[in-house]
Amino acid sequence: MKRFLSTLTQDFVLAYRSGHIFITALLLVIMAALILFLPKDLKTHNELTLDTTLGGELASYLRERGINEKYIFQDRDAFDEGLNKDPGKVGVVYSGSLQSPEFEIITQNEINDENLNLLIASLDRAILEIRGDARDLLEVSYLRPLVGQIPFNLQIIPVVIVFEVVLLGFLIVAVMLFQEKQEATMRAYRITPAGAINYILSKTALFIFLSIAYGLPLLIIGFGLSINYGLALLMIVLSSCMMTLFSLAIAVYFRSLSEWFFVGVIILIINFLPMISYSLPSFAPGWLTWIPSYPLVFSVRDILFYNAGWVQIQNTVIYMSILTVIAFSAAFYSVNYILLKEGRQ
Amino acid sequence: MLKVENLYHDYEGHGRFAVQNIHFEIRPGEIFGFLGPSGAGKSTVQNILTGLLPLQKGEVSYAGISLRNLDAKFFNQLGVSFEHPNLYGRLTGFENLKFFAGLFDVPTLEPMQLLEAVKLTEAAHRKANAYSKGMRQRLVFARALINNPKMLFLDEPTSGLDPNTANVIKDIILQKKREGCTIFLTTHTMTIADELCDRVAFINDGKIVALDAPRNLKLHHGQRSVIVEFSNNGSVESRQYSLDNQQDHFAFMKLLETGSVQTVHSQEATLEQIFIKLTGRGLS
Repeated sequence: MKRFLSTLTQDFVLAYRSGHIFITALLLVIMAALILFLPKDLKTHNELTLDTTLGGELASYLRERGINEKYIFQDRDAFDEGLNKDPGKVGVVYSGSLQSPEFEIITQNEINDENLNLLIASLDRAILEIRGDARDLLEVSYLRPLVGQIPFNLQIIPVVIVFEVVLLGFLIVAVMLFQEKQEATMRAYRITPAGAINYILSKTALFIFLSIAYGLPLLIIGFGLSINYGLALLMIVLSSCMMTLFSLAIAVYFRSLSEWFFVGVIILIINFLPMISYSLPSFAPGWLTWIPSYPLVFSVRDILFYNAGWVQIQNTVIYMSILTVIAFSAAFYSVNYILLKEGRQ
Repeated sequence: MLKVENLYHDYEGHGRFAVQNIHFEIRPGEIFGFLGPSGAGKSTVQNILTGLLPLQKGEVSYAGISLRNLDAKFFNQLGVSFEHPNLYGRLTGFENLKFFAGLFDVPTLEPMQLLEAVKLTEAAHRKANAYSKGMRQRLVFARALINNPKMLFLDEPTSGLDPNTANVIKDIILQKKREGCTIFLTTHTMTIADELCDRVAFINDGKIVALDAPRNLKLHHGQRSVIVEFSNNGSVESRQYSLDNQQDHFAFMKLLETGSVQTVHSQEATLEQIFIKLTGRGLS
């Protein structure tokens, strides 16, 4: 225990003097500012609607639905001017009558079939509701209790927690290791009884601490006391452990940061790919779901927004635990048999 | 204390041995000098003895226990001062020692006392990056002593030091010897070896070419004669007198009686001369 504390203290001092703690704090401040100052609601309306009917039923309907006045027109010239000003918008011209409505869709850009069908369905629905003929077409049952709309500023929290922890654990531990290689201090460390496990555990503990110090304030800012902190922190700890150990296992084989950089960046990019799935949940090819950050980010999302409990995240915990054990074994081999031996200093 | 038998090491596994057939034994409390030029195999032997390199062939034993059977606790008894100072540059001198003190299972020396001993008290709380080469060398030396080792490996411990500081380090080395510490001193500086070592081994091209006490080597390889400088009619002349020739004895005594003798130099060989004689090459 004495030598672990000595190594950990030394790692903390080195992390502080090398600016790693400052970088972590800076990231925390930036992300906290994003959470605090991003809008809670980021609704955008992509259509400009012109209602040419005398009664203006569709225009009234849209106003009742809270659509901003600037998207609703009853004058053709103003409508054309609006479309010219904002070519990215889709124009919808309504004419005819409620019994035989006619719609013209004007767009300056390609519009895919999926969006076109959605637009047509929403216009159909609007006309039916105006006529009073609308009814629930499909019965929907929910697997979990419904939660309210997730504020936009909080939606980014799973991403900023998981991917920044991945970045911290992977990148900074490699930087520390290359610093030690450059100073050849591992040769001196080797002539002590401390050994590889002490070295690995100290680095892992440092990055667990940094990850929690980064992630916990963001969770408190975003959610107060309303989430299961035990599970959220478990996810942070597992992410940090796995990436720190994985990074140690790989970085040992390179002589310098510049040698490692290309491989390191590729690994980081691969780990960041699940961000695409987080933004577009329908994009989830099988291979992507095996990337460790994929189950992590969705488990964190479920814990934070859907009150997920142990049962819902246990598969992720088991998967990450297995990966952590593998990463530890690889890190032990690399540190004990490569880093702490002559010829690689 | 340390016994080395039939030691070989091959870095590439192609049968090109960096060191071969190395035999020696170091007695407890002895300062054993390992002398040779760069690339002779000194560091290879030291790295094997300290466990930095694997023991491929041969036997190394400490107090009768094979190096192969020693566990990590063995390092509690070991101190190593590296030739190239390898320190945490962002830690202060004090922190460097404090950190390494925390890695051992045995009682350690006080970092400040060690820093004082190597004349680094004033720089104790400066980062090692800001140290001069000599200061870093002294800090590495102090670090080697932190666990009060029974076996000390010193690789060029006075390299880059001014004569005064080098004397401080030499005094500490002799003090450790008096305390019973066994010291393996690697150097290519013959004067250091001559001053400090009880015995020295010359290594060249991976093989030990001579091993004995410096005095014995000098007597064995030197000439039993003296060179005398004396004044003669206002000029200085010199003449060599054999210690084994009776005529030379009389001639020398007669010269002494004239009162003109200025200097007398015995002609035992220096360690450097012996090394050149044995290997055909210098030490630097």
